[in-house]
Amino acid sequence: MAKLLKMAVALGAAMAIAACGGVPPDAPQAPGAPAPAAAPAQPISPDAGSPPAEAQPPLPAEPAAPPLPPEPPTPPPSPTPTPTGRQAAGMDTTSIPATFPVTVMSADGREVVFEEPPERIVAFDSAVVEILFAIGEGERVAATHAFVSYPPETAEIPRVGDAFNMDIEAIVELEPDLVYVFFPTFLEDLDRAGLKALYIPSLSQDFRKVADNIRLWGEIVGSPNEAEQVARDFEGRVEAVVESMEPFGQGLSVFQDVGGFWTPGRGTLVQEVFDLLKLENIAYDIEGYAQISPEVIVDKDPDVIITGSVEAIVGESALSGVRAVRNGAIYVPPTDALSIAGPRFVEGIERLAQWLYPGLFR
Amino acid sequence: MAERRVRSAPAASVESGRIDAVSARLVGLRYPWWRLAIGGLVFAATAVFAASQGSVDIPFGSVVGVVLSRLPWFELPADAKPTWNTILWELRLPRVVLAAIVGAALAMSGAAYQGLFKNPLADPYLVGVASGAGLGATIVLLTGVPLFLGGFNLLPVAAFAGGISAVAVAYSIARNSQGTPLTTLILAGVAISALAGAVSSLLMIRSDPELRPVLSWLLGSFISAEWSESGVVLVYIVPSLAVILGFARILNVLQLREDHASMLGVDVEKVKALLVVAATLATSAAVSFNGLIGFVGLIAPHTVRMIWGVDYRFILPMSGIVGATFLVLADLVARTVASPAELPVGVVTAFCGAPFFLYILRRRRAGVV
Amino acid sequence: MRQLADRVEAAGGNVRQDQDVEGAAGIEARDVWAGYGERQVIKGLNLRVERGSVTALTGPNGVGKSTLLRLLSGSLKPWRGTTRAAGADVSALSVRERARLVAVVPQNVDLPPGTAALEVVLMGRNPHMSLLSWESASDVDIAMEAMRVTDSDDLLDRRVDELSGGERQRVAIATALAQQTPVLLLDEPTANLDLAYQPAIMSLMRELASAGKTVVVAVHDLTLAGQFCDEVALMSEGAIHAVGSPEEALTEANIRKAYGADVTVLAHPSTGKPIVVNP
Repeated sequence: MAKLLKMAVALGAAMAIAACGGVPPDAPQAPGAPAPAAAPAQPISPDAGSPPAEAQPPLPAEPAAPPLPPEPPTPPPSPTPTPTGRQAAGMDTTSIPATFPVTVMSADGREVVFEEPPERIVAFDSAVVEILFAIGEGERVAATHAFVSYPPETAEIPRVGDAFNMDIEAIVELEPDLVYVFFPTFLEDLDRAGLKALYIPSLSQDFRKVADNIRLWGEIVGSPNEAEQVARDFEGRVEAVVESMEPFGQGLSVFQDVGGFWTPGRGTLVQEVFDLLKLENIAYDIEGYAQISPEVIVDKDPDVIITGSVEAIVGESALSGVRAVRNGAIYVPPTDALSIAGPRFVEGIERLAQWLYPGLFR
Repeated sequence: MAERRVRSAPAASVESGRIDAVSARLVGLRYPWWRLAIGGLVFAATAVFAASQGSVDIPFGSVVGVVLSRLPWFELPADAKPTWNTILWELRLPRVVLAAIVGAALAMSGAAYQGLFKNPLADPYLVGVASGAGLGATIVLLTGVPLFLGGFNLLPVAAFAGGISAVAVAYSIARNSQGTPLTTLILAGVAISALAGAVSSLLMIRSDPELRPVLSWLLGSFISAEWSESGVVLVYIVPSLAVILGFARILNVLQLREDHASMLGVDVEKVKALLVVAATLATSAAVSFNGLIGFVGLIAPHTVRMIWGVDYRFILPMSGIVGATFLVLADLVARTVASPAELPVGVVTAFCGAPFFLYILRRRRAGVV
Repeated sequence: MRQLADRVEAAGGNVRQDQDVEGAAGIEARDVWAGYGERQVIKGLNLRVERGSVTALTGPNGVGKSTLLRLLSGSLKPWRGTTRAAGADVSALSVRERARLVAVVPQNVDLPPGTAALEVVLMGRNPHMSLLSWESASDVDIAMEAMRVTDSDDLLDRRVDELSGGERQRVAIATALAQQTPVLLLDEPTANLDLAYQPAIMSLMRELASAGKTVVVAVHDLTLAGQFCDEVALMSEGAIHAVGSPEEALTEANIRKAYGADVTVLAHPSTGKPIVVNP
């Protein structure tokens, strides 16, 4: 039992890695919602990533679909990104000088000072690895953990641990000038090994802060301009989705299965995405992640189900009468973008939005 | 000599009363059927109550109506929502039934292991069976081994292969020319249990970075119970439990030292082998679909033993009833206490089981029981 | 006396001694060699015990008394030679058949805690019951009679873990009697008994023998053996060194040879049986 408990604690950390799971589906009619003109979410795969692009289930014929919502008020194409002069250095739209030293507060209360950009970073977090690659600094990643799979270049990067373990010896051997972790378990060990460690918990609230993280890493590695560009792109695309959805009221009900009826509830990044896309999460009464009672799924009869495995849902005979199953409104996210609070997160949102409201999003 | 006879003769009439007094525990003479009957009724009431409760509120009257509507003479009640039919028939009832079967199987195998190994700590977990079975099931679930053979679900078979291997290894390590020292056997069981558990965890962690479902399995859960699972499990459990029950009286004799039992006509090695296989098969089948549900195999038989004595002809069936009732209740708590979320039932069995068990132990020490 | 012993056999109305071959010796061991693993314990032993007699098995510690009893009960297979009980080759019998032919009271009996004495004695009925059958009224009668004979009937509803060593011993003997076998083997049955009970148990052995049972009892106390047994078999180096009536077997010379100790053998003033004293 003790072993299990320990595992559960470690799990908490592991979970934090994968901020959230999947995304929603194509929607059958729902009162007051943008009518989903179901169209298989095409894997417009910008990412050469390798996630399982599951074929979409048959579209709900749903002839009774209410008239399409007003053609989307075309979102202002992103030239003028969301203004927001963010924290950090004064940002000129054109060029921000890289300034050192950079001081970052580690979540354990220490100040971590960078006199110059770290060259060899052990980035123990999927999101940070993605950020570094997105701002063109991927070659600084000296090692990472076992579950990192994006971008494809990461396949070559050494692995020095997983959700439960960190191979401190191997890390020392790599002679990194920064070890970034998203959970504090191994901070003491890293200290003792004389390594420079930075601990920032991964995002579990407010996915918009991804942009801040991007800028932060831009400063740390001395590429503030690239980071600013990526961050603005992120913010702009989020804003575009927000504006598109603005005219609509609360719409489809959704259930997301991350395996074995585990599902995200309130206080998760996924819930924020649902709010953004005007989806009503049937697990809203759940705090964080938990296993939901299947009775509740039957009772709440969601319009849409998001899952990693269609068979897991369709194979459950008790769910055969649920609207999403009857209509084939089951969405299998083509990538793990929505699981990682990195630059691709917005892409996950866009894909889900396209699948849900094909008429609304290009 | 002669005096002795004289003294004992008049005692004869008194003795019949005293034999009766013994026979409260002396099952062969006057079996306390009524206790089993009461136990059965308590179980039935528990099961009905469990079926009426869930994260979706369904009025008790409607529960009865919906359930009865499957019989030819009853109609679906007018006020019943169609989803209630699904919730009751596809979700709740299969769960209650599966929990009962698994509870009875774990409790009775636990009692059998305790009797066989003459060790109060012997439960499916301690002797390595559960972890071995878990490893067998994990291998089938996570690797390419086919799950069905000619329509026959092989999951329990794989679990059994794992479970019996664990016992066999523990047994052969502990065995020496004089017999099988229990301490060695238990130690070997613990070591094998740790090893099998570790390998299972490794397989699961490797296969699924999303660890939550793995955790559910490790802690045991009935969340995906289906009627068909009860069917598959029963195919293995019924014959196993029948064998165990059939040997209940012999299990009593086995409580003597092994050489003594053998002098009384018990083929000790054969009986032990047979019962280990039966108990392991029952445990494996129970574990294969629902994960590692701890504590039932330990507390149910002990509770029965502490309250009602040492005759396995009573301990075994009563443990089955107590185990079934306990697990149905534990699952009820698991699916309602954090509604609409669920807890792993193994967490509940430990949370409720451990304090209750300690209480019983305490009472016994105080001489109340 | 005879009557009482008969009752033990007759209770339940059904005496099962079908394997008992008329005219055969009660117990017979012929050129038996046996041991454990590499260790040879019994070396070419011969012994014949007449039915209806009590034979004491004596000898120094570690000479193989318990091993011989295990051979005679069939629970240990000889490397060579045969052991027969009531005419049947015991090592060829099934466990169950053996238990209907030979009952054994082991040394230092361990009884399962929590069990009532009568429940333990009823376990002696196991060889006569089928797998699924439960104790019948006649089984209880037989068990009760066995307890009466061993003077343990007042213990019937006591938990065996609350009994004294001597009481447990009597319950164990009652269990063996409930098996209703033609042959009874006892390993040091008097070891846990106080002075008063030792002769009581030994005379019970006599009584059972006169009812037709063949009794072999391993005893340490040579005087006790001499007082109550028809025959005394003195073991030495894995074989029978001397066997015969107490007067024949328990001589100072035999004892010195078997034990390597000098003793004085006196005659009992009334019975004339040998009394062994130091030195």
